[in-house]
Amino acid sequence: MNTLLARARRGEPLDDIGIIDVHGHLGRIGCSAPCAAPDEMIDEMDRLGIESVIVSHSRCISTRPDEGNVQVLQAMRAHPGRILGYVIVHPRSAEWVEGQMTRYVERGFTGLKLHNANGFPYTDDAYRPALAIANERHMPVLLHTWGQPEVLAECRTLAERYPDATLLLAHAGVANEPGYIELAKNAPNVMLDVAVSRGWRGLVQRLVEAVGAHRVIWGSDTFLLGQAHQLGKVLGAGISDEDKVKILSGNARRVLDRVNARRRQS
Amino acid sequence: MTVRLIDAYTGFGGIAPGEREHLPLDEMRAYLAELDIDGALARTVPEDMERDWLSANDILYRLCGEHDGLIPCPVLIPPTAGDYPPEHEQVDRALAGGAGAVQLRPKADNWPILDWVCRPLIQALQERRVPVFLHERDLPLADVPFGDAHSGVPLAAAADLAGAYPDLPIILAGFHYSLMRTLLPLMRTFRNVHMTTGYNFAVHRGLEHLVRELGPEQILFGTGFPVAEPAMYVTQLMYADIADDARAAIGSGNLDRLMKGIVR
Repeated sequence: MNTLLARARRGEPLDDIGIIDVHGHLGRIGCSAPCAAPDEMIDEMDRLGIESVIVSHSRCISTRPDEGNVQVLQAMRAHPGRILGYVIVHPRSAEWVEGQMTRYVERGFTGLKLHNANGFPYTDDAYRPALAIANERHMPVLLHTWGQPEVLAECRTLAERYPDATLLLAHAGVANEPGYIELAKNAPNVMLDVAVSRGWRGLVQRLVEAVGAHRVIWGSDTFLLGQAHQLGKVLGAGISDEDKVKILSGNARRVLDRVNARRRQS
Repeated sequence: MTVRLIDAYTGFGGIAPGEREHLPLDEMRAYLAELDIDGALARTVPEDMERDWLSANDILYRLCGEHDGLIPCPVLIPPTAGDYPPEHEQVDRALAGGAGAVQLRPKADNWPILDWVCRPLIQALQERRVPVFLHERDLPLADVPFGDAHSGVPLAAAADLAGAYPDLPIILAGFHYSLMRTLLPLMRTFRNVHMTTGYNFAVHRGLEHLVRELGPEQILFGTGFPVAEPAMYVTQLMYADIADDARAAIGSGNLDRLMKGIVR
């Protein structure tokens, strides 16, 4: 047997399918996770066979997100094409948010990451300029979610308001699995990011059966969670290798291709 | 690379509210085969609706005995209410049934880890060097530094037990990935404390950190089936940046050593 799972069982790097991790972090997370340097991230990716990772800085749930953006930019420049960046913002004002988004998109960031631990809904007016830029540039917007119906409702509002952005719902299925499925079915620009520590048995298979493999996308939540651990939920899912490759690689590539195509146009 | 794996934290045969059928043994055996896992230390899971552990344990012994590589991990209970056999009899029965470890569920079975409640049972287990599983959710909430989100962190109770019974192998299971800050010094202080990876030991390079700080001897591969997707713990171990002998020890060697230490 030489399936992806069999290869992983032998510990072989899966370096021939172009794995892209759409949910990574730099910086300290706090949950006893190590604060690894970008070089260590690359070492880990090489051992597993991961081509690239899109990261945001952990300061997205803290003060001074601008300092986090600077660190992500440095990592992107140190590892071009391997480490890509999400801009993080705090909704202190629409002007400030627009300034950050513009500054870092011009420097090559790939998307936007929002986290609601700051007490603001994703529909907050101060986020509008960043979301408008993401929409105009066909970028992915990674949204922290935990199954709450009111948060999924906010995501649905954004999906309708910004139809050219791709909304990646982080931790899809951690709770309220039907809510995620319903949202993905009704919002074509929503994708389900399966980064969850517990990794409920059968979750990936159920999501694929409900919305199709083309709408499920792999993120690990590294440096909080281990990429090696999070790969297993896709590799062990009861789906075809073809669908596993879509989730681990093809879908993210499609998202990035849209960003790059738009860049070339402008 | 080939690494022999024994799943130290899995099970079958139980049922949860809302389910029409119990979890079949074949479902567990199917993933063991798919992931090339040689055997399993099996509990009765889901545990939600089980109340009669004597009967459940007997079923577990019988079904495990019918299949190579399956080792039962029964539940033992202090018999202080008169509803279970005496401590030594429970231990004898477990070992006669082929048990490779036992599980204690203080919270679920309504008893605290206090010496004056459970000393005869713990002593009986220590005399025979029987490994004891403690799951995070089954321990009383002795301290709750992390709040409701993680349903309490009763590591202090496990530490008290480990300190009072240094020859009792204790295996912690189901601890949240954020507990490294506490888990590591606990395992460093009490070398009879072990942990199993399944489930939710998901932290980035967590295995590497533990092996670097403690060596591999106190870590057991486990999947957390049927809650977790078992392959996560296979990929975690197989891709870990650790020496192959450490990988082999975690994969099955440490559990083999603990089970060989049982005085049967």
